[in-house]
Amino acid sequence: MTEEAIWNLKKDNIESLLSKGERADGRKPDEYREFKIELGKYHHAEGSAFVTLGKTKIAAGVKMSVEKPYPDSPDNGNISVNAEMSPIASPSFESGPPREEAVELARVVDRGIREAKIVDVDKLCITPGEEVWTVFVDLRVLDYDGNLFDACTLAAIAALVNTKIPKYEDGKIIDGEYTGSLPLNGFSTMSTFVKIGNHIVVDPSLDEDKVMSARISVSVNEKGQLCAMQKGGIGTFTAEEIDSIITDRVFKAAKPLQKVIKDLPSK
Amino acid sequence: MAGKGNENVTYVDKSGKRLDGRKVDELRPIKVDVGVLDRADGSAYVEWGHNKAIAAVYGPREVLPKHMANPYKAIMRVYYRMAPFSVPEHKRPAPGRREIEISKVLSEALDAAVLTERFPQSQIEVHIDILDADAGTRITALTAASAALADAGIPMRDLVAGVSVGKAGGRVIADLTKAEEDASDAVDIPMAILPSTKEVVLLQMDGILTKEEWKDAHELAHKAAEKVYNLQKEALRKRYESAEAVEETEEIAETKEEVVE
Amino acid sequence: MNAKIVIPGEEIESRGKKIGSNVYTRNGRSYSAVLGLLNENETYVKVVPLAGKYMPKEDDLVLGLVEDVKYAGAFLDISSVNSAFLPATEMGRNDDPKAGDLILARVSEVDEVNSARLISGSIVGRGKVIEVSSAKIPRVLGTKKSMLNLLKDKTGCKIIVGMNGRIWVQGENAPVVILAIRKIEEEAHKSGLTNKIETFLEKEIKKEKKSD
Repeated sequence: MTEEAIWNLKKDNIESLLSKGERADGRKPDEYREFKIELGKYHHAEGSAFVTLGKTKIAAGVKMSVEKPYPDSPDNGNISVNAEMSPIASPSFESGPPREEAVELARVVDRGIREAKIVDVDKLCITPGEEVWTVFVDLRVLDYDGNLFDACTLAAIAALVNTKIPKYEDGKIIDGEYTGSLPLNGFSTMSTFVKIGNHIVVDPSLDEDKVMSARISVSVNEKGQLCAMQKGGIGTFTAEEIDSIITDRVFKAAKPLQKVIKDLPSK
Repeated sequence: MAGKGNENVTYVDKSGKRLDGRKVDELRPIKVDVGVLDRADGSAYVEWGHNKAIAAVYGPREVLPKHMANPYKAIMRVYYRMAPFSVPEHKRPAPGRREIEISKVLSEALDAAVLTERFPQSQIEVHIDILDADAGTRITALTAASAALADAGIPMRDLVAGVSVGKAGGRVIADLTKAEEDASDAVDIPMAILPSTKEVVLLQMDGILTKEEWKDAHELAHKAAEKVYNLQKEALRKRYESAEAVEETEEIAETKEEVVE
Repeated sequence: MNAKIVIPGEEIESRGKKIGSNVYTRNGRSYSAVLGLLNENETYVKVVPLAGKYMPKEDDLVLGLVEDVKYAGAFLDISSVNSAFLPATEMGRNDDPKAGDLILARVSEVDEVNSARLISGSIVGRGKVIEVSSAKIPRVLGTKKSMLNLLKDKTGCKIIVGMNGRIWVQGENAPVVILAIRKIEEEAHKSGLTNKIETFLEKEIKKEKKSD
């Protein structure tokens, strides 16, 4: 597929700008693009969010379903994150079952939420060993303008904050009635840095995503702890680069995201 | 169709009002927006009552795999998909038989409108995501798809405008909601036309209907589709609103020359 | 005069007129085949599309992105339905195209499936490239190239406009040119565009100077 092939000219431009400390869209290395979160757009979802980051657009919806618990955790609810990278979002995405990229995206977003223990699964038990709530978070990438990891995490967390628990009586979910909001403990955000030449920037644009040699996504919670990480791409990071991202840059970069999430109205 | 609904429900009351207060021929509120996505060649977003559909169009572009290409026309590929959170019960992400069938009938309806013979050996793709579903999603999808094709600049003999009509509680009504589809005598008839010739490009039905009821439903469908067509046109015009005088259109359109340093 | 926006399938009054591009007839009546602007005078009627893929025309200059290089020549993405072929013999003597390079070439022929064959190819040097819909290119050029000359004169940049919607810009004021082209793209269907862009360029260049 040629579409995602990067122009040698654009690549040269991105690199020569970076060597002067500049980015093609005028941002600073640790600066995010503008982002926006709309809550509760989809009425069949128990919680939902529509997120734009730059021109990247994500629709996220949460469905609550009653299922049998896993044998090793009979009184805990479950969470499941799925991401769809359909051709709606980019001429180079293909239809059909999720490919490597979509599976990695879903699993990385999932770990950022799961490991931060945001969803209080202890409170999602209905009858121990029999019935627990499963929280399905589904992400639809609608427009790919770079950095799906951070945009999807933002959308997933916002949708969870927006989620209400349906009323459940006599083995049935009562449509349109709720018993309260989904029990959450704090939140997390993900920040993705990419390496282009010897330069490292946060929140890669589409062109930056195409030319980067290596990527690292770091999830941090509201207490300033690290929750999950994923390195991607065939390039490498030096030990110093990793240290600087993980101990310093990620916290600075994530500030605007954390501020917005903290202020989201819960259900 | 015949749903599990309660026989005692009055679907149309004495004053001619339905459960949600609409008249028998009244459509739910419909909103059409075009050019909503950045990466697609053309796109549209439609809200129809609680239904929400987004459509992205690509093409005409090369057919892959190559042997699928048609030497005489572009092939239309439509992918109608439902988000797992669009329905009351979490849906598995993989497309089911229903989505595959709907994709096929939508693709045939759109093929009738697109001037596919102008692009042999190529394909035109329409990808549609249903983000919220409340009866009538295929027509919501078709409304978005047709506007997105026009937005992509694809040559078409006409737009495609559609609506669902049917019956509930013994009355012929337009644009059924989920509650109405659940009536015990419910009939659902999604139908779409090429507005300039009134030719029918999509028609499905399930339920029991008399000939007389069909006549009423058919007439109602044409009238209602006309309203949908006007909303599509308005949305497409709005994208280029205040298009005024291009004094030099004549000349610039013919310009073939360009400049190299 | 107002250019009317027409929708596919919308009837167009054409009595006694010659039918131009993007208008089709059925039973003696005429209809628009695309979303576009109605363009007519006493003798003919046609529709200028507002969007759509680039349809190569003989003699057009295009900016192509090299996708693949074979012994016989290079396959270029020219934002059209199919890739275009540029024979190796049509490349400049010192040019050795690689995937990802930008090449300026001329369309020599177009076959029945809209595939173009190219001639006179040369690799384009350092500069910025932007992409707009090919339907907007006539506006970037302007009447008798008035818009293009305005962009060049006011900014001192070198500019190559590919009819396929790609524009290459080189020079210190390249960012200003790109902003101006985005503005042309947004307002391509409006009148008085040349004057608006002139004012815009003057303002932007002043700003640039101040910040220096």
